[in-house]
Amino acid sequence: MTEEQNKIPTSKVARASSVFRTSMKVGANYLKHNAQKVFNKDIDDEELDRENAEELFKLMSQLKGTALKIAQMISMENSLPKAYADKLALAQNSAMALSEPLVVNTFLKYIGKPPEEIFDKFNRRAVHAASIGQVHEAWKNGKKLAVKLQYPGVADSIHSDLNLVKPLILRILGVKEKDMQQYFQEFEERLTEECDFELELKNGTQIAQESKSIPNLIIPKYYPEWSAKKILTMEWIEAMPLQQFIDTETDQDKKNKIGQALMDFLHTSIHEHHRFHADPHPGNFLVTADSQLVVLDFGCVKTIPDDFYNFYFSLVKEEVVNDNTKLFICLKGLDFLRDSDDKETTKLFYENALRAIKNISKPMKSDIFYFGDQNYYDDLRTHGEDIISNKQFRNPNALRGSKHAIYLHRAFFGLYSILFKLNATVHIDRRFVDKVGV
Amino acid sequence: MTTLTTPDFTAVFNKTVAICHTDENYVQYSVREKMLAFVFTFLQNIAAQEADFTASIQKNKYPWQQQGLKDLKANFKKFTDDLIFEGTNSGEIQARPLIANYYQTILWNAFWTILFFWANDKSNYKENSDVMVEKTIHFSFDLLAPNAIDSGVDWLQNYIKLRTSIK
Repeated sequence: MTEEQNKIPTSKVARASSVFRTSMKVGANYLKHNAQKVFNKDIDDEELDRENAEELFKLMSQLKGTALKIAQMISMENSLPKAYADKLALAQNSAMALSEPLVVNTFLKYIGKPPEEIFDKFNRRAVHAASIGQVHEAWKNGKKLAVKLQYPGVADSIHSDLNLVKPLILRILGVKEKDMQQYFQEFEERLTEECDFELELKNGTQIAQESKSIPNLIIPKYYPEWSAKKILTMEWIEAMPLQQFIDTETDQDKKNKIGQALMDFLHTSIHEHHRFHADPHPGNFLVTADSQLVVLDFGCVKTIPDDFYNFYFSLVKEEVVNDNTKLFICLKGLDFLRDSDDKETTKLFYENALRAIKNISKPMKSDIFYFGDQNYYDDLRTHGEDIISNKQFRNPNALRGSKHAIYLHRAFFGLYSILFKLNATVHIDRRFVDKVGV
Repeated sequence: MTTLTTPDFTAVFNKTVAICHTDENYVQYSVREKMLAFVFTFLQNIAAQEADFTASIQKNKYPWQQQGLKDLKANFKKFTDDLIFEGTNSGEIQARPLIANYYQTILWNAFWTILFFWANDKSNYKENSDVMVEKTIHFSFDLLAPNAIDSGVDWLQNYIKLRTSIK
């Protein structure tokens, strides 16, 4: 057993006790903070928030599965210190490896045959580990395949893990559970889907079909005959991780080519099919030797309803932003504004929602966009921090935005931060703009 | 309603050992992996007759008073005897005076814990039992493997012996 394995609390008791430890620390931080406040009334709550966020994040990177996914999501929103984001990246790679007998057992249970009977050759030792499963190499009819196996018990632990971290999230955000309910539900739905390999196979196959015409894009072929609920078999593609490509490639044309493929891929999914890969972080992409982008992992696919799509992307149009009636219809449709709001609240949310959407849609307003612009990236990144540190957002009424926006924003943040790292200049297909409207 | 029949633990045991040996990787496995393979295969085999085995394992207060389980215990002990011998030779298991006599008991208790968990497991495809198997077997073999206490005892013995030389 490796050291990392021992560090991961897999049993519910172990998980509960680390959660307990963290809540104690969070409690202690409050105590310390209030004691200081007695003597020094000027102490800002900001420091406390930061300390608590750090405690929460430490906890989450220690737990696996669900908590890790939530932590990932939080770090994508860039509201947490970079040091912890780095720590998290480490946690992603240190996963518990299944013993060889359990690998065989998994095949027998879900397909009914040992792996060697299904494939011509199978490597019982995993070659790669991820947050919810591990990857094995296999060969069939002269073709190399990647076989992903899910850790047992991961799907079952989602609900209980979420319940464990809920109180902490509520405490940090300073809101009530009933106000967060719709968002928690959205997390739980997506995370549960992520553990369903049959659904992933269906989504992957369908999105591959829809993205066929995109240049320089490869989506591995899935093999339903050798897949099951916890086993997913796909074509093996020789390629390097995207992060490595970003770090080592010096030819900007090649980087632009990859950036363009990624942009086209997500834009086509979002605008033409309203269903997209909602987890675009560098770990889910590879780059082949001839600079083609390989998309992996269709576990997290989000479908957005048509009316949400229309309200949201109408805001890309100048004519809508400049027309107050239309603008308010959209912002209300997206639940950023409510009929019950007074003048001040309206102003606060109006400004912030508009800033967020303006930032995200900025690249969609021109035919060609340079993503390496540090100012643009900082603006995008700091908005989240501004919201977290603004006290006006610390009331139950402040939880705003349709739940569908979470994964859409996650996709855009992921896409834009990869494009920033690639320093890419990409062409934007703006044909969708003519189709949206309110 | 279907009636329950008395399950044949001995037949399942023999079948399990036979299946394990047909896997060409089994010979190369460490003793820990051999035990894992045995337990996983055993659970697959009893799953074919789940209702009977579950009833038998859950039976009243003292399920192991049934002849079937007594036989299973005897067979299992013979099986682990070989594993312990093999593990001691390969260095995976630490031979400790006196305590080593209880290794079989440790492994039987581990196995019984798993069986009992399996019989009460309501998860889909009994996947929680798979987690339990991994955790229980790793824990029991970690107890048997050379660990800090062994080197502590070793250090103490040497310290007492060598102390005289520094006087």
